[in-house]
Amino acid sequence: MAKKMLHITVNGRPFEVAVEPFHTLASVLRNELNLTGTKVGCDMGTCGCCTVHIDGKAKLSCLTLALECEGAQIRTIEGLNEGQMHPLQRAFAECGGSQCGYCTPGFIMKSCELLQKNPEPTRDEIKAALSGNLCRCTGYMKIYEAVETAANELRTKSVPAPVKV
Amino acid sequence: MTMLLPTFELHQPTTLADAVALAKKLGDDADFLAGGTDLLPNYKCGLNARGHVISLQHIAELKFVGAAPRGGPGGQGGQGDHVGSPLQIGAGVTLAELEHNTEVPAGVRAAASQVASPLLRESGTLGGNLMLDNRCHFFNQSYFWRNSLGYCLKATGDRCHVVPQITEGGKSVLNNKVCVATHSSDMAPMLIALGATATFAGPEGIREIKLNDFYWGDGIARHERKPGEILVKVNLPRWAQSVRSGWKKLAPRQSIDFSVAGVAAALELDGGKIKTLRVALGAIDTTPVLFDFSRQDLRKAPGHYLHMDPTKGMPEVMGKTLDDELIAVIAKHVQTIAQPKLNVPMAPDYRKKMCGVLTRRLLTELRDAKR
Repeated sequence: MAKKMLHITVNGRPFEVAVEPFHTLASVLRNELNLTGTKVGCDMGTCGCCTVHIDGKAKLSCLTLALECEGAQIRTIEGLNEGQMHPLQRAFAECGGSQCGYCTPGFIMKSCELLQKNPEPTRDEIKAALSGNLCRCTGYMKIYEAVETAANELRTKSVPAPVKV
Repeated sequence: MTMLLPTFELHQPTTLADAVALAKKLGDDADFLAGGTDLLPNYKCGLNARGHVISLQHIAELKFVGAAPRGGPGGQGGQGDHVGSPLQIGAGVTLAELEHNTEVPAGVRAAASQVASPLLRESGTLGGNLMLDNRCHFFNQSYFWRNSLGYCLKATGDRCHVVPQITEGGKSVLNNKVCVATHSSDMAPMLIALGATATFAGPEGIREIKLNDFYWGDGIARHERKPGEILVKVNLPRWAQSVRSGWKKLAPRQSIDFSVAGVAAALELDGGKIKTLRVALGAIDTTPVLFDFSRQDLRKAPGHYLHMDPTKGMPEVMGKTLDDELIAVIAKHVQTIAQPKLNVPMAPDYRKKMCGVLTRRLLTELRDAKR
């Protein structure tokens, strides 16, 4: 079993990595590219922690073989916003939508896709969109509030001064 | 917890003909990968992993809804291998695409929108859902778990932990070699209720088979796909476009979980009277179970190990007015026939009862729907 070269663009930066055919995208992002913002929870597709954007679509990186992403544009939590916090990240922090934080990257990446498609989602639409992500701490209410807050902020463009991270 | 995939070689053909040739060459040591949402979790648990995986994700011929693309599937039979079918759905279409496609019948949309979670539907395909591996408490477990109890018929073992066995001095004397793992696909019962057929491309050419005849009542053999064959598309008959169709499912959670009982129905009314009624149960048996109330579409039995006979005591409903009373009779019949096994979450008694409840709710909804 020989490694193959994989060419992907992650957060706008091109990468060339040698990967095994049985490596998942999640393991390549975390172990080869050191982008450990993407978390692996169940590794079976049921928790949504490992959600990343593959060519603009939120998908589970634990159930995606890395070599299947040849030439793809990947966006992870690290690439959400350059140098400053994305309104979604700020809203999650301010509304208490994140406690232990392990599920948060997955929730934020899925919410980000939702807000791109639907800038004004109702509570039910948010619930439906996030129904594949599990959180064991917050009880979800604060996560929904955070998404609503961020949606409102992104819509009205009343973006407060960026917080440097 | 990171679960390691077993080692395998990945093949990424870009045409159907290449994929078929590869499958022929690799024989039994290869699996097909569509979305990977069922195959990869099974591989991570060490369930029947093979040395080669043939990815179908880069084959454009599998991704279409509507008329078949020019040249036909596989470039072998050419176009017109299924003349007269107004709707064809490629096996590579993702469930998320299907969920929002207004060309497909409402029931197909409903079933697609209830499979797993939004994230899984983004990767999961129609073909993958139809070829889903059967599920069981004693099968879908980690290597450690299964090793502790002793393996089962479906993976590495020689006994079934679900069906009772006659033992003599602790040794099994009558081993039931038929696996009863549950067929949890949501799309299969819905498409069977709508009378769909499936087209396969294989080393011996292209063939079409009625989806209702495709599944076998054995959780290991599962279906009659011949070695090396690839599901290309599903064909829906013309009437499927005009009938009322719907899907209701029972699962521990509304999202993510596999169904533990599901009811699909295709209903055609003529002035309030039943013209066609096809109800199909999912996740109750090793195959979807079709109740064709006109008694025409009967599954061929030999070699298929049918566990339930939907025609046994089937009420006469054709041409009768579909009122609440008749719905109750139909629901009672469905419930009587359903015989779930204790091999997926939730008690069999409850699942049996819910088959009746879901049938009643679905038929009432379909009857009252404004058209």
